[in-house]
Amino acid sequence: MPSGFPDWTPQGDTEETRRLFMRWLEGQEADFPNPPDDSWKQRLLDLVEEFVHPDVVLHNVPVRRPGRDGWVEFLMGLGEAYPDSNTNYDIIMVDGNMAAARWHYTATQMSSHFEHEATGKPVRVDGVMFERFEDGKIVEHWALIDRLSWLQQLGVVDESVRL
Amino acid sequence: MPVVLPEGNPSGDTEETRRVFVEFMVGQERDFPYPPDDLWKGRMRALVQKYVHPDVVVRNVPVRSPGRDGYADFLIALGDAYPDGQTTFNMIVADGDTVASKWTFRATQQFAHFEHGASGQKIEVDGMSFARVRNGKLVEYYSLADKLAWAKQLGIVDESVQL
Repeated sequence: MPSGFPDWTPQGDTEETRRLFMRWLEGQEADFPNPPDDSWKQRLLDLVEEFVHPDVVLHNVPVRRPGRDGWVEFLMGLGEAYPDSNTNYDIIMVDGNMAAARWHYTATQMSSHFEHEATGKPVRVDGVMFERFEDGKIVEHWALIDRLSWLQQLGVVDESVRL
Repeated sequence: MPVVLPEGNPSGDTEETRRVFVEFMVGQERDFPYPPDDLWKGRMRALVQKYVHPDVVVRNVPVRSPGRDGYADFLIALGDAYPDGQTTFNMIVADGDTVASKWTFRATQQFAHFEHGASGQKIEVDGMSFARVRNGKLVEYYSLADKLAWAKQLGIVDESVQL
């Protein structure tokens, strides 16, 4: 049922993009797990400042304000609510100035997140993302997380809903 | 947030992978919009046979049986419920044997789908899919649609639910 395709392919130095993308992901590994103190927040800020453009355009991320600051707030909110999280990247791929990945996220909801009170429930959620790089920084980010499954695991949405 | 990264990068003929994926998706357009007769279903099965390995590993797609037959059944059930469905691809990236795409699906739910009766609702849902191609055929296919947004647009999940 396709009705349209991009009339372009990604351009740019694939191996340079790969190097940046891997450093960005590895940096997240180095800065966590979240200790009970708040020092991880500063390390996250430093990492995001190194790899993300201040005016990054975010798609499908539930941020309260645009750009890099909004993204950092979102990541910190998630880290606070789900401090024991693990992100397993199943595929990482790069094409010109674009990178894409699919991953699964396992974590326990230890404190409130959005309007959902702490449930203590473990979740395992699939996600995918695309990044566009320009001059060594992420300038655009698209994410998709299986939020329906996540909400079902938290007990917020009924298990019977299927699509 | 510890992260686990895959070992090694995708390998293979990037342009051949891109070509196979696009040809398969373009082929799905041939019978569009799906006529009320069932002839398009036979052509869809033939298309899937040409481009998909019999033992394809399908992830995160609500198939009822594994492999190629289950995947073809899923595509046909979707076409039955949403005969005017249009998928607009706005990004395709390829890396070795791996290809990823980002798309928007617009459709009207005209007939029942899963346990959800025909709603007549128009939907617009974002999704991303990943595939691995070997010897001209898809051997892995993974797709994630924004099922929470989809369920809200069908009126199955309350608008107020956020995550």
